[in-house]
Amino acid sequence: MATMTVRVASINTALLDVFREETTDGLDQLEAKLLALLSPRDPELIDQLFRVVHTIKGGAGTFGMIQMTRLAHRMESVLDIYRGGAEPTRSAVTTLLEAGDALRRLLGGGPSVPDQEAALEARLEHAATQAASVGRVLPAASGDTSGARAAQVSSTGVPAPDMPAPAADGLSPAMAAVPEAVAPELRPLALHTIQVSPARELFRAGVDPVVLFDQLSSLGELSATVDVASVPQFEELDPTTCHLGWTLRLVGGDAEIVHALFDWVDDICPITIETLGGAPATCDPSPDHEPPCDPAPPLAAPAVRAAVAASPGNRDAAAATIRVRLDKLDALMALVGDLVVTQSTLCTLDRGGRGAVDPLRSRAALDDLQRLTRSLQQSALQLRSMPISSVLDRFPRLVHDLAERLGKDIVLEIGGDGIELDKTVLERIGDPLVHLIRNSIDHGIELPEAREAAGKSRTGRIQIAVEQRGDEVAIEISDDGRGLDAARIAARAAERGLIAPGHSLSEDEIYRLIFVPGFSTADQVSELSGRGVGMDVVVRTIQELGGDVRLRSELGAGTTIALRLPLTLAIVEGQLIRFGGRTWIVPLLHVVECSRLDPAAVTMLGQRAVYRVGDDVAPLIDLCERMAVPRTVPGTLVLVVEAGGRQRALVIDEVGPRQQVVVKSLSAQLARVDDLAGATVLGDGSVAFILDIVGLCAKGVAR
Amino acid sequence: MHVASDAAQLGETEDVAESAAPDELVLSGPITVATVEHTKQRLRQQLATTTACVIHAAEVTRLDAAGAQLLHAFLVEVARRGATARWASASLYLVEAARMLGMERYLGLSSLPAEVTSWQP
Repeated sequence: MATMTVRVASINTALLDVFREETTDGLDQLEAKLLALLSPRDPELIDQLFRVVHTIKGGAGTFGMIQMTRLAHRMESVLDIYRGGAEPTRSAVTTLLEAGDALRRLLGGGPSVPDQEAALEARLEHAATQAASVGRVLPAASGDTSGARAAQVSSTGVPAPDMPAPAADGLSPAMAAVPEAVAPELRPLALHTIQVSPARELFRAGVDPVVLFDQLSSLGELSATVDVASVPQFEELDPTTCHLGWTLRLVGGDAEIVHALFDWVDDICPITIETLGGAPATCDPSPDHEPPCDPAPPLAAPAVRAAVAASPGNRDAAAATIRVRLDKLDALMALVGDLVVTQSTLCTLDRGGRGAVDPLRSRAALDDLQRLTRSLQQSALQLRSMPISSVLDRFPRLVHDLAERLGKDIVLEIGGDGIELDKTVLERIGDPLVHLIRNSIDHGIELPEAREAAGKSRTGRIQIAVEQRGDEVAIEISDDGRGLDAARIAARAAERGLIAPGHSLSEDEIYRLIFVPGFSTADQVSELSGRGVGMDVVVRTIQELGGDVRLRSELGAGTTIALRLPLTLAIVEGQLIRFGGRTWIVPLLHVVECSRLDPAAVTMLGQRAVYRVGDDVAPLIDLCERMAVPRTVPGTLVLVVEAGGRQRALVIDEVGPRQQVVVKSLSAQLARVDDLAGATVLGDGSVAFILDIVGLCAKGVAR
Repeated sequence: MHVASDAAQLGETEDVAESAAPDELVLSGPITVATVEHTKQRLRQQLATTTACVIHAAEVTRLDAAGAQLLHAFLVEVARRGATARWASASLYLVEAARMLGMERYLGLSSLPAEVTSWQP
């Protein structure tokens, strides 16, 4: 047996990654469609959901992922009843969502948690029974009931003969018949006799009974008897057609799972099962009727589990890959084609080798090359880009779950989710966005009664709006909740000594206090928020990505948090500057203005020099001093930069052109140097450092 | 599946092919639906020349149901022609697949001594 386990695992490992990737997509779809079930009903939706779950079940069965197959099968049973017209309830949708989570965990190679999964299966069973009973009481509401599970319940309320009547506790007779006190291992083992009658084209369809039987053997003790009577003589045999049939005897396991394992090949490998003893044999082999069976303890499929565990990196592997739309690759290929043509043109310019190059033609070719290089750069960046929906798609579920837990009615609206960002940026903004949404749900949106009392709709609204602005993307998260109470924040800040007595702050400055680590105005720390941990992390993460965070709020009307992020981290639009005899880069995102140094605008605040910028002042920093480089000429210019709502006035020698620069990471030694974000190679081959404006603005200026 | 007669061409079982006698059938590599048509041609050649076939299958790396069905038909044909076939060796991959399919007996593997099965692949 051990030999087969090793062999089958090795066969399947190559396909597992594909299966995981496709199933992950399927689970994403599942979640979105389940949430949509609670909105006005699209008749197609249930069918789509059923197909998604059916596909997952088939794939899991193929790979011997028994527990995934079981769960998917239970989900399918519930959805099958909804296909008949029964209305999904909120609690049933929640259970289905949780089942989807469990599938996701199992898919990722996470451990099977038998108790939890058995409980989940029982809840799915319960949901199915409830849905079926609702279909019975309200037959008129079921719409088209032809061929569906709900149709199997007669309008008199008497279950049709092939439909088990729900038990008093809402569980099916199959569930109710098995006393919980009886430990699973003490239940008698069932004997399944399985007739396998493959079609002739079985082999050509790529189905190998060895693999199927190997998976079956993971359910219990399996013995096979082959029928070779139909195999033609050697000369007449087309070896790619199947003339074999089997009778299998399986001791243990669950008929339902056996069906599920064969489900994906049921058109070319039909089976019939007779079950004796063991759990109540309520399983009907017909595909239209798969009543729930005894939730026997989940059986692991060691071969596949080992394969999943051994698969390189599992999650890491997924993180290291990216799906690229075909049109992006086509565009890249087209550019490469153009590049080849341009290269040919350049080669023909001096074909005679006499150095007589036509300046007009060479100029045109170089212009083409420049254009193509920029297009290639853009195209390559596009390959790394993914739609922001890959992050935002999780929020409908988040809002649904948290709103339900807090007893709030909230709708979430998302706009601009097709905008694409660099994968690195996307990977980092997920958590900050989750935190902001949770804050809106927990602290922003009021309870329905409070909203009503305030003259608002009982249903709160959270909006996520994404918009591309040049090389940046703006993300606004707004809610129509209670808004920030500036007076209360100021009072709490004063209590904590964050505001000096007698000192007054503008409303904007007061709002910014919520980004101070550990600051919270929540009266009670909840599971969701209120510990004062998080908003500072949000700001720090966004700033580390080269972006910034702004906040607007109106008491009683709501709060908007606006994030600004670069589309990519690989290339930045840079402002070249010079000081200390070297060229440096400042990301253009942070540049506010550049002007001649006006000595009259410099004031001393204690030991600190500040520079007047409009109506405000900003700490003045001599970059030569700061970066410990020798001053070659007196600094005559001031570059005002901003990050995180803080401005700094930088003394520099010269300002150069703006240009896109490719960001290179620093070596380990240089990475420890403060105020450097990276380096780049300029057009003349020299290396220029990119200044870390975020760090420079975040830190104090005493140096 | 590679058999001795074309082993030199395939280059994978050259050593075995050089040492194989005419009645010896050397099976190696996968015997699956992807290879059964080619394998059938080789087996047909073997049938034409053999009266007492000795099968060396220690290097079979995979056997699927199509391969098992073909081997069964081959062994039946050997017997029908009054010839004999004997397993000199068989890989555990082959034996386990035959057992899983319930075909050990039909392939004459059920009484195979343990010393002729191996992990060599």
